Amino acid sequence: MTAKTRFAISTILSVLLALGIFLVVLMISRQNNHKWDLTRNQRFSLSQQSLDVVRDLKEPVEALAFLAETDDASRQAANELLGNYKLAAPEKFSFQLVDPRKSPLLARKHDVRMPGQVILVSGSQTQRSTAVAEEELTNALLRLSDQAEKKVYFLSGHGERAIEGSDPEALARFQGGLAAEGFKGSVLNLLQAKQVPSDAACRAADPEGLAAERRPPAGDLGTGDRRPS
Amino acid sequence: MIAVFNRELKAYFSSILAWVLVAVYLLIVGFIVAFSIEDFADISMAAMQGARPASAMEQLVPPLLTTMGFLLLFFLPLLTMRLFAEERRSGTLDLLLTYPLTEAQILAGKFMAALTVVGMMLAFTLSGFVMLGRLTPLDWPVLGIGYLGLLLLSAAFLAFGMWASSLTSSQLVAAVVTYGGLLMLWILSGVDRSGALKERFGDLSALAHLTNLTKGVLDTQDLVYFLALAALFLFLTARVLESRKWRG
Repeated sequence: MTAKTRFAISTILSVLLALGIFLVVLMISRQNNHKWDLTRNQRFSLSQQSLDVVRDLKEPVEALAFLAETDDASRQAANELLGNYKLAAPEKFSFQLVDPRKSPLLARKHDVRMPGQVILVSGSQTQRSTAVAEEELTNALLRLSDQAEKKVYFLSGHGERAIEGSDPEALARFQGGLAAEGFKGSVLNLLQAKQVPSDAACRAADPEGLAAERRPPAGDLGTGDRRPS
Repeated sequence: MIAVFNRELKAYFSSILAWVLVAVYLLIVGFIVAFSIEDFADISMAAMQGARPASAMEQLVPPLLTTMGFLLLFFLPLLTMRLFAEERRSGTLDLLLTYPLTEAQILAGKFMAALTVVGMMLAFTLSGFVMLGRLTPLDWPVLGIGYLGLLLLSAAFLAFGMWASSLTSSQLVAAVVTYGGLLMLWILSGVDRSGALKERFGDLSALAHLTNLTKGVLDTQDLVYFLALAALFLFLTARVLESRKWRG
């Protein structure tokens, strides 16, 4: 092997090595970055309350921000805002931007019909933020960090609509919406159970059910009742 | 290195090119600042009807700084195209390489000279912001971060331009390669539509990193991006220079 060939090989290898080092440096700087917001009113930083909420999360949370790929401005804003949450607690908060048109199954799973929503997922619990805004996201995180599973009982036994299934009359969408907010739906036949279970956060009464059961028994229910239309 | 730096700086200002470049850049920036102030006055008037007043540091300064960065894309290739291409064409590069100087010293001298010219160019534009500061309150530390971003962007662009210039003996080819490369670098995030690269390496586009800095957010990721980019192309230029010794 001539000196020229050796030099050519070493040049190619060193160029490849330099490119590799460049990408590794970018990767490390992405994972270990530090930010200083020098604006007078700290407008690119999270409020102390948001920082406390995300740092106090007991379980890791993944945020799925459903935004169209063509909406660069919204994606950039979401990236910055969600990036700030991640920066505050990288081991507890992660996020990804999802184009609902490219991931229709994921969008359907979380009942996302319009872009601009964020679904926060922690284990089997989910919470919805209807806007990519700090206040909404922090409230959704607060709801999510309330670990006790909230149950919603759907009355049955008098021809009420089913809560599952593809029947257009079924309440699957309504129940899906409740599930996105962290409620677990179950069916309750009051004639058999005699009383509302103690773990009920809310009772959903179908207007087509019996009139007597549409009226919540005194003391059983809080203010969270919802009535499907 | 100082000798090369002095030689290059003298070469820049003894030719009309650097003067014309600085003058035209300042003229364009001056026009843009004037038009932006006029637009901002309209925005301020409209905002007076609403609850929140318009802020120059939010609506005027960041887009202005980003535009100044975009303009550099057209001016810097003209500064770097001659750095090595001209020396190659006239045969002085081989002479320079025989001097008791390392490639790194030659590179550093030329790079610092070009960066000094850009630094002067940017420093003159500050006069526009000083005038603006008389009309509306400005957040000077935020503006300082924006200028740091412009200087880092210039360093990365100059390094790329030097590399392109080291590849050819034609200044025109060097300029065209630099324009193309810098434009790609500017819009690179548009190529990564799925965001897979961004997820792993951060934003690869120079525009995204400059935008962060112009807003007054000092992020180590942005600093590292520009410095690493400049280092990468300076290294590649050094390899090209070194290869000349072996090719003869």
